Amino acid sequence: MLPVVIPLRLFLSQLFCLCVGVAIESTLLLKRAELPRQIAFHYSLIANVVAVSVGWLMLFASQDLLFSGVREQQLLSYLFTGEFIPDVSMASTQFTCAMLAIILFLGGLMLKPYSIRLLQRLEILPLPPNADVGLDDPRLNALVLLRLRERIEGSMRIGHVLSTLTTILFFMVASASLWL
Amino acid sequence: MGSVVDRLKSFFTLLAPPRLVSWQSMFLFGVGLWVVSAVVGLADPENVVDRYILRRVGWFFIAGGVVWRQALDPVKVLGFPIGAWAASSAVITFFFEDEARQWTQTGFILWPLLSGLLVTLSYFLSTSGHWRVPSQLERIKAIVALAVGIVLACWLKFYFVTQDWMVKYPRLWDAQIEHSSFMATLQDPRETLGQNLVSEVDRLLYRKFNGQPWPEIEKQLQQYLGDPDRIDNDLKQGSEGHSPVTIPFGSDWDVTFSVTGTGNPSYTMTTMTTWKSPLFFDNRDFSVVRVCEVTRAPLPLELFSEATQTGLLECNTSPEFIFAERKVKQAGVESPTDQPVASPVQTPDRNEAPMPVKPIAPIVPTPTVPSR
Repeated sequence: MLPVVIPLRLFLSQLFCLCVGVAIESTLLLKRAELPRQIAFHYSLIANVVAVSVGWLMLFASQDLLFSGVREQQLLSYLFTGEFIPDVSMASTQFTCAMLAIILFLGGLMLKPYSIRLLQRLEILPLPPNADVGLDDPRLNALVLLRLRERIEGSMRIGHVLSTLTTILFFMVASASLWL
Repeated sequence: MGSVVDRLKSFFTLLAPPRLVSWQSMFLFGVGLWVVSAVVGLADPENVVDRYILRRVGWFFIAGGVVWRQALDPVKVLGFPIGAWAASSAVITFFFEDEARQWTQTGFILWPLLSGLLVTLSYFLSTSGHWRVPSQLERIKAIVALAVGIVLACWLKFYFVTQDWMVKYPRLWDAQIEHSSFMATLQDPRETLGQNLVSEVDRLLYRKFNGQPWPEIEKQLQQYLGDPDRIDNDLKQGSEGHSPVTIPFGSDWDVTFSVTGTGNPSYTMTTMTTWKSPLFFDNRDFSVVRVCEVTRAPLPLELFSEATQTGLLECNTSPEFIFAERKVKQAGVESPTDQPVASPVQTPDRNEAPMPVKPIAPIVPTPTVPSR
């Protein structure tokens, strides 16, 4: 017996958001931080996949808190039917949804550059080749590296904002075209 | 013919152990134990314990052989290495199999994680079996494999969480999943056909009853009760300028209609849509019961409002219906005694069953009497 109700649309839209995020962020890393093509792709791919997996783990960690009482019914109703239950209190649900959106956005904004920095420090991700300019003074080298890191992290933050805006815009247009 | 023989030959030469300590001998030992457990089962079907132990140990050796093989030389299908997935599935069959020989939930969730770990592990092993430090690109591949494994495991976990929710709120089977932006259904074409029909019935009922003036609603109900075929004709021939309903596979379907209730506070309408399977080799009937309740809509609070009393329609797909069991029962949705098929709203066993046998959403197909 095949499973009949599966969160397939959620998975596909997450895949779509991942693709959009990787495309926009790797382009920014390529153009703005002037990283080589492959390294830019690896940085953005790893940052996005790590952010997604941390997000899921946090969701499961806060599952009992999130899905409780009236809020559980409201959220489940929205998940399964696409609309909230009328005549039932929406106050805590509205607050939760707004908080979730803000936490997801800010969390991604902080987590993406941080995960790249952490993985660089663990020597899993390579430093970009333009980090080592071969100056004699180690302090100058460190300064160059700092500037480069700032540029990489800035581009990742801008990329995160842009990809979030793009996906929101896309889903708004998609739902509007469904209603029309 | 020759190519088949050649392939078999190459398969057996692949499995022939080059020396005693090799992955082939481990794998073959596991397969041998498995065969022995099958023979024991044939000889003495009562002997479950020995068979179980033999099979488990056999799987352990098969898993070990596959992991060894994977570490030596990753197998690729269409350029994608599947060795880790095969090896981890063997390991999970060894550790996470229940009595019914099904993977447990934990097994499914651990599968992608274990595959990611095995991919990472294979980068730390050299072909001679010694440890080594993976190269720069391999480290990136390993971290991507691990993270993708975590994401896939989370997806599987979320799937199981949704199934738990559907057990907790069994009426979610009746929800109209097609309006959701998260869930989707993989359905039988026979049931999808009925889903189209039932949505047409819903649309007709909403058009006739939702937001209409109350006397008009009662008139319509009288007409529908006086002529049992009226709703069927309305759908098949079209009414009030709306085109008739056509479905892709013929027109062998039928809608019956009944009303209970006094109108104070509400009328309960039960429609049953029955359709034949569109597949020529399958002569079963399917049916869906849709229970809708039309109540008097709340009047505006202004004293001298000129608004007339209108009706409000709620069917068993609306969220308030799905989540508000007690309220609905108090509102008078009681079982009409003359109903041949119990509607999904009233069957208590649906709410008690841990897992419905044929869980279908958003419709509830009940394969009824096979017609000939």
